[in-house]
This record gives sequence, structure tokens and C-alpha cells, in this order.
Amino acid sequence: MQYQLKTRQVCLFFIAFLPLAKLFMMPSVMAGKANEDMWMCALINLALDFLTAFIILKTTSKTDKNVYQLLEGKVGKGGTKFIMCLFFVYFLLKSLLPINEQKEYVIRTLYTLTPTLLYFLPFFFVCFYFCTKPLRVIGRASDVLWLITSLGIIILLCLSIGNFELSALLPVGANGIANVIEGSYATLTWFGDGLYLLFFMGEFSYRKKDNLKILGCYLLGALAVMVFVIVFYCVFTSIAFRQRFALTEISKYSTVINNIGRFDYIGIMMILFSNIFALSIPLFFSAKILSYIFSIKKKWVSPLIVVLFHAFVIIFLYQRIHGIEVFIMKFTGWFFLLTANILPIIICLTAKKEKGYAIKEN
Amino acid sequence: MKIFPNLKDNEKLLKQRLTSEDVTFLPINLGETKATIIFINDIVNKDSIGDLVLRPAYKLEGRLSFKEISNCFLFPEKVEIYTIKKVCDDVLLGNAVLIVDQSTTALSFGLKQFEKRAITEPPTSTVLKGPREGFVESLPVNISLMRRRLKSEHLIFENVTVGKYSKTPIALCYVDGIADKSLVKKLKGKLENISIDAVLDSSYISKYLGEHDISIFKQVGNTEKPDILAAKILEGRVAIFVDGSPIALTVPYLLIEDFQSPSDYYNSPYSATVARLLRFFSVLLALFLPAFFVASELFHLQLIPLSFLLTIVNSIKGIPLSPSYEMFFTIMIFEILNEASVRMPKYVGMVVSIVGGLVLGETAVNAGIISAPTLMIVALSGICLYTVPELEQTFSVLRILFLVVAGSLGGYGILVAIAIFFVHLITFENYNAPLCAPFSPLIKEDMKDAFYKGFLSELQFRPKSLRNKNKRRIDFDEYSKGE
Amino acid sequence: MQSRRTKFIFLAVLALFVFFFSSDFGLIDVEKTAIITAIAIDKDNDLYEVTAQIAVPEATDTNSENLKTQITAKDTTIGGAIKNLGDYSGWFPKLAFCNLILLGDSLLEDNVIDVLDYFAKSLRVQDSALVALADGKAGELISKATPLDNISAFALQKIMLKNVGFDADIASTDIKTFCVGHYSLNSSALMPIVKVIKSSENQTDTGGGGSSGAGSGTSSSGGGSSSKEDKNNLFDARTTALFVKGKKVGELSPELTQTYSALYKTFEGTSFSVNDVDFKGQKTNYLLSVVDCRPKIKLHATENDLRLSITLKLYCKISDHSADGSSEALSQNNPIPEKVKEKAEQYFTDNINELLRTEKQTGCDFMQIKQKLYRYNHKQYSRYKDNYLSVLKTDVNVSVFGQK
Repeated sequence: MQYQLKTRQVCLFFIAFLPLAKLFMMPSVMAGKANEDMWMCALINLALDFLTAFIILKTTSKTDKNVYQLLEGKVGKGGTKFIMCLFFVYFLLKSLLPINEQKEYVIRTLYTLTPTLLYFLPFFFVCFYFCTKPLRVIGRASDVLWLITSLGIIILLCLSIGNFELSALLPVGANGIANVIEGSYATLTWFGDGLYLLFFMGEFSYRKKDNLKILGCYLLGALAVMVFVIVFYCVFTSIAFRQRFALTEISKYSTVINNIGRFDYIGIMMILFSNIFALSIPLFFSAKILSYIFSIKKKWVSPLIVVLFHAFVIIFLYQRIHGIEVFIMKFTGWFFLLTANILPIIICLTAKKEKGYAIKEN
Repeated sequence: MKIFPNLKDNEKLLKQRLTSEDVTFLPINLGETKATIIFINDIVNKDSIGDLVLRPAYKLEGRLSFKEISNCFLFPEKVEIYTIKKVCDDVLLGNAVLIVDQSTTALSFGLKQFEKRAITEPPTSTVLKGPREGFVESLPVNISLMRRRLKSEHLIFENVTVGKYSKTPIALCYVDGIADKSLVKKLKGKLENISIDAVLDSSYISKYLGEHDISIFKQVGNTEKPDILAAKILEGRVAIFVDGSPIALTVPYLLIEDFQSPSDYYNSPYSATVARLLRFFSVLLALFLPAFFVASELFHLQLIPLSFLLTIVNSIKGIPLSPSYEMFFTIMIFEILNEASVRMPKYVGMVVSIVGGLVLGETAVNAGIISAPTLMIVALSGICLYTVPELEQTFSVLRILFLVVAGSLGGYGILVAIAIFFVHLITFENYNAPLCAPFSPLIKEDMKDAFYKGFLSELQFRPKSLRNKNKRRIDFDEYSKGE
Repeated sequence: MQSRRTKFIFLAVLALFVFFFSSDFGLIDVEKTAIITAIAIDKDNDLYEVTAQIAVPEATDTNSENLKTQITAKDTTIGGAIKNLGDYSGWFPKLAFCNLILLGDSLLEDNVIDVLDYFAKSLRVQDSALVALADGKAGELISKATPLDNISAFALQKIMLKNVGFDADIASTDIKTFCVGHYSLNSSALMPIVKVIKSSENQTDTGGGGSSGAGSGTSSSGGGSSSKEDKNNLFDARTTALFVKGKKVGELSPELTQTYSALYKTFEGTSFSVNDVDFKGQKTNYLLSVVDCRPKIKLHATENDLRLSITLKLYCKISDHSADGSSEALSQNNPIPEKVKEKAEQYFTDNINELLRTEKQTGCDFMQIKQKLYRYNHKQYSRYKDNYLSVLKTDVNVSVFGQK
């Protein structure tokens, strides 16, 4: 059987893409809800995804089927299409805020003199091109981008050293559990990375102890998010909630920057580059799901539909985007929780071990 | 069409087909049997015709069978042929063909003698250390150069002729037991299916071997040096020699190949690693420096340190062109100078360099037509392009493309353009070999000869990026037994 | 399919070239941009008066220096005034390089955060820009010519940026730090006050000690003098202004600023004077430089007691002294004479007590006691959050040692 991915690529996927979309607006949303306890919001969401990833990997060790085959065997083609519709909507919604953030970031911080939407539009072109490729492209991209993402984050974090006080996280839990949960709920749209494993199921050769490698890499990605969130709050403390673009903000107080200019933009550019792909991945899956639901054979049709939808929202609904933002953060958390965590867990827990399937030895 | 038994009929037909005046029909007597030797005047070795064909022929007596006639020529390259077409082809190849009366078989003598160049160091890949031999335009010489390096029964050459008019001999070269047989079969099939008037150089063939027609990136490797080619085929690649071309093609091609200079393998791993990292860095500078500079000037002033920005503002005062046009036209001038200096006679080329470098450059800055930083960036980027000469053409096109993107869409536009090429590159496969291996897909074992050059003990296995057999190439166990 | 793709690529490249050569989709290139290096803000009646110092590169070679120009504009809002700068000059104001915001004392009648919030929120300005209060009119101060740099903003930045040895003398603050303080639990923040001094009047005293006090040969901040005379201007920013809820409530003298730095900032490499040390009736002045500084500030809160213990350990070496050759002090040059140590300890103890007194008097919690109460004694926070300054008891313990 020809697999589209390698276990190594699945591992690197989490290092390359897990932290990315979470480096822009998400930390300030968390800070607005839970102040110095914001790290707990991130921890809760990461733990939820970790649990989802763990259960999906358990199922991966029992079967060689991919998610479509698994569901078809259980609920039939019609039932599978219905469930896939939920995932399609999920991926479509999941990428809305991060793409809008990226757009805002690009046109407001990179193009300060001439902030027009025009400069962001080429993103949709690369997004479309990416979505027309087979699943292999995600693995291949992970092989390279893990290094670029890691370097970018390391550069920014190194530049932030010396400008943060860790004691800003004290006292722990003073904001109350309700605020922490509210912070977690509002930011669910940025998480849900465990779900990707459901779509990688059956697409890579699962060998003994692969779950440890993959979960280990998931934890590395999660650690990067946690460190970033903590450093962000420790740099800004009482004004953290006002920093909409955490990425650019945390490093600019470094003395290096005072001396040689915006050196941090090297790290920022690296992260922006990787983020182009991180933002395209939900669209990639929504396009593949759309092709499955409507049995679309031409590889460019579904990507075009999905990308045009997002381009339409970004270009024509820009005046309502704040409303959409609030709506997604306030009212769609349950849907994100259901589709990214509960549904995959149910699918996996009900899956039985495939006859004759044995985990390959390393 | 088969050869007629009647010599006259054969001659008549062949004279209709080979009408050119330099084709000679020389009638001779083989005892009592009449015969004709056909050859092209200027491309056969006439001394050999006299010594090896005519002299024994005149010693024959009586009526002889074809077999008796054939036996009297003690000539190593002697082939029996049976069709008129083959007679024509052999004559055109430069052989002498003997047709005998009352026989439906002809004899072809391999007497071709083309003028050939001496073996010299190829100008495109000179080295300080290491062999200096380069391929020439003669296929047999090139084959002999390979045979000299790999004296193995596993070194296989397979011949194909391509070109309706040129009938160019092409040889596939590989090491049996290392190269993937299916790849050889696929390549041979592709070559046999090529229908083209003439193959004047190996680059004519390379266009047919690529699996993606419109890609800007190279899909077939090439080299002019036998030592490099030997190393490549020992990694499992298949080489293609084209008669008349000093450049051998190799398939499959990986992008990293062109970053691996021959000198890397003759120097210490430390210096090779530094040189290789420099090459990567230079390519990045060559491709992106002009683009990011223009993007910074137009859209992202904050990326430039203030003191440098003041210098730039100072230098561009009074320049009539906007920064993007200025950079674009300076690069164009650079490309024109480059093109002219390659085409011009050697000594005039030197004048062009002086005029271009000193007169045009300095005067343009002094006259306020272009600014000094722009000139410096174009020059630096231009020099950096040549650290990987094999990819210079591709990169110079990409450099202009990135510049145009930078001038229109700024820094984010450049990132998007890079992303498009990135997606293209990582999904690009030629003959099952990913172009970007060993970076994407990441092949840990092959990284030892990618970003850095590993020690001998690290290079025990053939690259995994290629589909080759017999993975081990250095056996240290055997070596230690010998000790 | 192949030819369709070729056509698509051809059209895309063509469009890109058309876009490139048609150019100017609102493009503002570097020549049309005013590189603002500093902004001075004053208030004139109800209007904000914004003076921008713009770097004008006039140098013909790399050895000559750049020049500056200044433009002033007024409006009811800061953003409006900055916009007017562009309208008046035809340049597009680029604030990414603005590393200094100087506030005039006319702004002190209002809440300074109204001004700084514009810069904190705007993505066009780096909130890492230094912020300082001018002693007088900011617009005039920034126009003072100085021998340090042709662009006075650069000269000002030089004295306020973090440099080992000088960092401790000035409580430099950037927009972000000021806002963090302002929006924190204690709503307290501080920034340096910049005064103009004539270089001829400048004294070498580096920060007080004993009775001498800081050299502060200040001159009137009013401008208008000729450029030749102006070239003698230097800047002193060792005095610190204290703010509560955006209003100025007090000042820290240069000595207190330095002591504050010993407790809260990098103090290594700096020097302080210990004057009038009595050796057998002979008064000797010493200059000690700090090799290592170990402050420890602990707040301990119980139901009955709120106690702040400050321990400061300073490891110093003698940099200079005024003793003559025969003096006993000279023979005891190394290690530091006990009398010098005692005097230095007394000096810092007095200053720390003075800092605490200032904190209580002004209500400006620049020593972040409320924050410590919240972070480290959260259980007692509600008990003391409103009266912590009045019930606070303090233990101050300063020790000065010779070089380790």
C-alpha cells in the first residue's frame, strides 16, 4: 500500500503548524478573559486536543482504514456524508478568524503607509494552489517548515528575554475558574489540532510506539504555545489584552533592535511564511471533504469554491468582520468542541480492531 | 527493402537515395566477382580503406562465395547488413559499405573518422583539486573516458538512434545492479519515441525527458566531467550521452546536485561544508536581496535600520526612477552585459566587462541615474548567482520575478511567491525522485551530503532519495578485516 | 490542459508586470516620507501642539552628518496634529523610527495617558519609544542644538537608552512600560524629566552623596537663542517625575532616582559619591563604583502586620578620592575604609527611607508594593489594598562591601 505520509511527517506537522495561528490575536483574547491565568486557558485547550489525539492514535493502531472508510463501514455512505458535512463546516469556520487576523496583521503592521487589502489577496492564490495538491503536500511541507517555524519562534522568544517578569503570572488562579473557562471557550477556534490526526488515519504506516513519537511532538508544539503565551503575558502584564498582534509585539523591546533595527522581522517573516500554510490546511481539508461529499472529480473545483468563500468574506464582509469575530468567539465554541473533540473521540471509541491488522514492528 | 542480388540494381537504387556529391561509389573486383565500396569522402579513414579493405581485395582470385570474401577481411568492426536502408544509414554514419554482386548481404566497415576536439578541462566546472578531464563531442571518446573510470562488467551502455535527419547515436549508461531497471526501461522507451528532425545537442533530449513541461526548474541533471558522472551513476542514476555533445545528461535529477560542487569531494569535509553553506546563502542573497531591498524601500521602511535608511535616502535623492524601476533596469543592464560578454569574442568580452563595470556603473552613479546601494545590491546578487552556475539561468529569471512581485506587492507578496514555488518544488517528482529531496521529503541519511558534507564513515550508503539497489557503497567491515 | 495552464501562467506574469509598471497604487516611496525621529507635544489652550523632528539626509558622503528639520502642527487630537504635519509639509509622516516622545509641562494639567494612549494603540508608532517629560516647553527643548549630535533627538536617546554604567542614573521609560504601570493595580508610573544645561556649566558630579547634591546647572528651557550659543546645550534627565492615574504627583531627585535604580534596575557599573568622610579632621571625598548589587525586597503580610523589608548589598571598589598623599585614607585605599562604608550605607538607608516617604506622601506606588501584595500575599490583598501605604512598616538594611 502506498501511503501519502510518513510517521515522521505527522510528527513534524505538529511542530510546524500547531503553534502558528495561535501567535497573533489569541493571546490577547485569553488575557482579556483571564488575565494572569491566561496560560490555564491555553493549557485546558491543549490538554483537550492532546486527549483527542491520544484516542485517535489508539484507533490508528487498530486499523489501516482512513476516516472515510472507517465511517462508511459504520454508518454507511449517507451517514458518512452527514458527519463530513459537520467537519466541512468546522474547517470552514475554523480558518475564518486566523485568516482575518493574518490579513489585519499584514495590512496594518507590514504596510503601514499604504494599508490596502490588495496586498493580502495573493494569499488566496497560494491557498488555492496548495489545496489542489494531494495530502502528500502537507507532509512534505512539514518536513521543511518545522525548522522555519521553530527558528522563527526561537528568534522572537530570545529577543523577548530580559523584558519579561515571570512573577506577573502570580497569583495563580486568582481570576476564578469561570473566567479561565470563558477564556478557553472563546479561543476554541484556534485549537482543535488533534482532529487532523483523524484525517491522517490510514494515510501513514503506523508502527509500534509511533503514538509516543507523535504525541511527543504534539507536546513540543504545545510547549511552544505555552511558552509564547506565558512570555507574552509577562512582557505586557496589565496591557496584554490590548496587544492584538502578539507576534510583533513581544520582541521589539530588545536592545538588539535598538542597536541594529528590526532584527525581529526575520523571525516574524519566518512565522508569516509558515503561517501561509498553516492557514491553508483547514481549507485543504474542507476542500477534500467537499470533493468527497459531492463526489467532485476535478481537483480544482472544491479548492476554488472553498477559497472563493473565504475571499468573499474577507473582501466583501470586511465591515461585518468584527461581528463575525464576536459571533465565533461567543457562540460557536460548543460546535468547535463537538466537531474537533467530542465527535472524533466518539468515532474512535466505537471503532473496532480490524481483522488481521497488526502493528508493524519498527 | 532487402538488398538485391544484382549489383547494378543495388547501385542504381543507392545512387537514387544517396545523391550527395561527396558519396563515393568505388567499383572493385574481388577476384572474378564485382563489388562496390560506398563511403562518404571526408568522414572515413581512407588509409584504413586502402590497408584493410582494398589491399586484401586485390589479392583475391577466382570466383568466391560471400562467406569467403567476408573471411578475407581481417577487420575488427565488420558487420553484415541486409537492407538498403541499413546500407544508407551506415554510409551516412561514416562507415564504408561493401556490396557484392550476386549477394544479398553487404559488409559494413567501421571506418568513420570525424574530426574531434582534444580532451580539455570543461570551462563550466573547473576545479583547483581533482581531475581536469572533460567530455568531448565524440561519443566513443566519452564512452572510453567512462570505461577508464569504471572498469566493470556492470557498466552497461545501451544505444539508441534519434533524429530523422541527424540520426544521432545516443548511449544510455548505467551500472547494472545499482540503477533501477524500470528507470532504464522507461528512459529507453522515451528516447525511442522521440520524433525530431535532429538532435544537435543533449539539451534537445533533456526537454523530452522532463515529466513536467512548464516547470521553470531543471528536470534533468548534466555534467561535463567523467569523474562526476561516474559518481552519479554509482549513486543509481542513468546517464545519457549524445553524440556531438560534451554534456552528459543524468536522470533522476535532484535540486541538491547542483549545490554539490566536485571540489567538495576532493577537499576536507570542513571546508566542503563551509563552501556548501556559503552556496546556499549566496543563492538566497542572489534571489531575494534585490526583491527585499525594493520591498523595504517602497513598503516596509521599518525593516531598514535608521542609519542605513538615511544613507539610502541620501543616495536616491534626485534619482529619476522609483526604487523598483531603478532596480529592475539595473538588473536588466546586468543581464545585457552578461549576455553580451558570453557571446562576444574573448578579448572584446573583457572590454565589455570594463565598460560595464567601471564606466557604466560609476558614471551612472555619478550622473545620478542610479543609486550606489542599488548598484551594489545588483552586483552582489549577480555574483552570488554564479556560486551555483548550473542553476544560474533559472535563478536569474526567478530573481526578476521576485523583484517584480516585490515592486508590486511588497514583502508579503514575496512570501506568497516563495510559497507558490515552495509548493511546486515539494510536490515535484521526476522518475519517482522528489526534486527537493533530501529536504522534502526529509531523508535523514542523505542530509549527510546535503547541507553539510559528512565524513567518509557517514557516507557508507547510496542516497535514499533515489530508487537504487545495492544500498551499501563503502564496506568498513571489509576494510577493517584488511587491516 | 497543458496549454491552458501555460496560458494561465503567461497571463498571471503579464498581469504582474502590468501591475509593476503601472505602479503607484497609493504607493508612498521613501523620498515622499518624513522620517520622524522624535515628537514633542505641548498644549496650547485646547489644542495639542505636535513638533516633529525629521531627519533630513543632506550628507554627500558617509563622513558628514545628517541634518534635521522641525515641523509643528496643532489640532484637538494628537492623531489630527500628526495628520496636519503631513498636510503642511507634503511629506507622509513615518513614525516607525520615532524613538522619543517628549511631553511638555503644559500637558501636566491634563491626564498624560490621554496623549500616550494614542501612541500605545497606534500600530504606526513603536510603543518601545522612550518617553520623557520636558522641563518647560517640549517643542523648544527638542529644537536645542547640542554638540552631541546634529539631531537633538538622537542626543537625548543616547542619554536615555540602556547603557551599562549610565542606566542607573536615569529612570528611562518607554511608552509600553509607562502604560503597564498606569494600567496596573496601583495606577502608578514614572518618567524622566529632561532639562537643558549649558555644557560650560555642567559639573562632573555624578549623583549626589553627602551634602553636595547633583550637579544640575540647568538653564531656562526657553529657546530662541542663536545657534552658535545653542551648541553648548547638554541634557540632564536624572530627575524623575511621578504619576498617579496619569497626573504628576511628585518628583524624585537625582539621588533618589539613583537609589531607586539600585533597588529596581541594573545598578552594576554605576558610581556614586561619598563626600566629607572625616579622617582625623580632614574631609575626603570618595567615588565608589558598583561591582555587584543585590537588592532584596520582600513584603510580608499577616492579618495584623504589613511589613516591607528592603535589603541592599552593594559590592564596590574605589574609583577616585580627594585624599592627599599623606592621608591615612590613601593607605587604606583598598579595601574600602570602614568610615567610607558606613557613610555609604547611611546614604542609601536615608535615601530608601526618603523613597518610602515620597511614596506615602504622593500616593505613587513606584515601589510596586500593591503589586507585591497582590502577587505574593494574595490572601491579604483585600484587607490591605486600600490602606497599604498607611499601615506599611519597613525594615531597611543596607550593607556596603569591598570588591569580592
